[in-house]
Amino acid sequence: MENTAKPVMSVKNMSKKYGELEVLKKIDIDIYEGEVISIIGPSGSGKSTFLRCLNYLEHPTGGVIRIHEHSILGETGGVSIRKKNEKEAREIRKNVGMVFQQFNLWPHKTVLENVIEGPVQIKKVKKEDAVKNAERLLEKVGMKEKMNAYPTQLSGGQQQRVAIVRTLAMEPEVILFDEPTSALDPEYVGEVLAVMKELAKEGMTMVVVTHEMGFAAEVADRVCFMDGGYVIEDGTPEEVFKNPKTDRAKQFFSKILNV
Amino acid sequence: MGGFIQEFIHVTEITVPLLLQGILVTLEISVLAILLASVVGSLIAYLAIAENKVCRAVARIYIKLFRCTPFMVEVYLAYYGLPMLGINVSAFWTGVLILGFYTAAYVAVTLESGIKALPKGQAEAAYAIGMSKNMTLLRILFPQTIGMIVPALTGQFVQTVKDSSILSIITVAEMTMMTKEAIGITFSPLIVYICAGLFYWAINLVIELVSKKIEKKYRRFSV
Repeated sequence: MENTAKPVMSVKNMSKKYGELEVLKKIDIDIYEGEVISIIGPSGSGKSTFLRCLNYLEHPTGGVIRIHEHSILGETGGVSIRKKNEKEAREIRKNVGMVFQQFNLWPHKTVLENVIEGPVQIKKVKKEDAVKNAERLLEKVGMKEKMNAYPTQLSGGQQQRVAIVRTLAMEPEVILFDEPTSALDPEYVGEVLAVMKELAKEGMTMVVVTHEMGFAAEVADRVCFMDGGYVIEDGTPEEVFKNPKTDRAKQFFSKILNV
Repeated sequence: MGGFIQEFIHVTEITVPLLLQGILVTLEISVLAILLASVVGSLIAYLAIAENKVCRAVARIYIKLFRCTPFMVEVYLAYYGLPMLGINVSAFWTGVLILGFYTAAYVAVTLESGIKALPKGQAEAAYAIGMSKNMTLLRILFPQTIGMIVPALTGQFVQTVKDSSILSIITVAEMTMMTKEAIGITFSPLIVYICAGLFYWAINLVIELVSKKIEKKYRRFSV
């Protein structure tokens, strides 16, 4: 699938500095339609920052991110670039969903209201249609019964499933997952991963920052290993897990695999 | 004792009608000032959380200016200062304006800290579906802060009603002013002030009750 198809999202030379500290160093990644990319690596390697740059929740300081005709440019402090980026980012975000570690459901809205907020307010879908679609999606993840509950009445796993539906309701081309199971009690991890597997099977393009090596190995088409702000391994799960090229990756896997 | 009760009845017969006149003015001023404070205070809070440095500075200066001078001084400044600026309004409207702008500073601080206390992820989840900053503020952040800030705002609005009594110094015929008039007629300050105290207490009791209702409505989903 690589090279022949046009990427949905393309990242060129992206870097991110906080003052003197460079947390992302010239990252190049093309994301193709239907691809599931797992981004793994030690804490502080820049995984989440990378992901958050893709929808401009963090502002990259160099390089360019493209999706269709929209692009986000690296900012070196220019206000004019930021204004333009903010406008572009709003368009990009309609096509690129995000699922957060802490779910971030809105507690003043019911499950249903959380899900239809985006379609109704941003995409201007008619409310009846948005509700119908929300019910269908909630049904799919087994949350339709809780449609009128408030987020605080749900378990972490349930909240994350609703958060995934909230993202799906926008019908994005790409979904970014920022450690979606890291804040969950172990007993709820499985139900969230199951939903993600289902999405992957349906052909959703996904970029998943995760510590779940099992998920990465089983579901991902591609695994990127990050360390020190670089992507130091980029290949199929087979290649990266079985035959890592770098010592750093070997060392990392020797500690966390085969437990 | 019988004498006191007789005097009490006599004095209240004269005092209550006067205070009722005054309480209407007190209520008018308080309601108008609270409305003005809510609008101006929201605006200042909006500037206070803006990304733009100039906006934030304007908000800070406003808040400092109004919170760091005694209200009585501000009332006199408005009373003598507004005409010099070419603004010729009645004492009543001078009172509404100064009480409103003064309260706005406190409303602004309360709103600002309420919004800043929300977890960052709340706004991020809204941005992530393509919401603008203004829409996020209006639909996601502000509704969540209401439950948190209602108790603080209630305290502020109760204070506003009490502060309106200071407007008697610029001849506004509100309840405290009428109290003085009642004393002039009856020469019985203690009884008159007991009546006035009860009247103020009654107004603020209503505010507290309403606020408890609102708080309860918005508290149920607090994080």
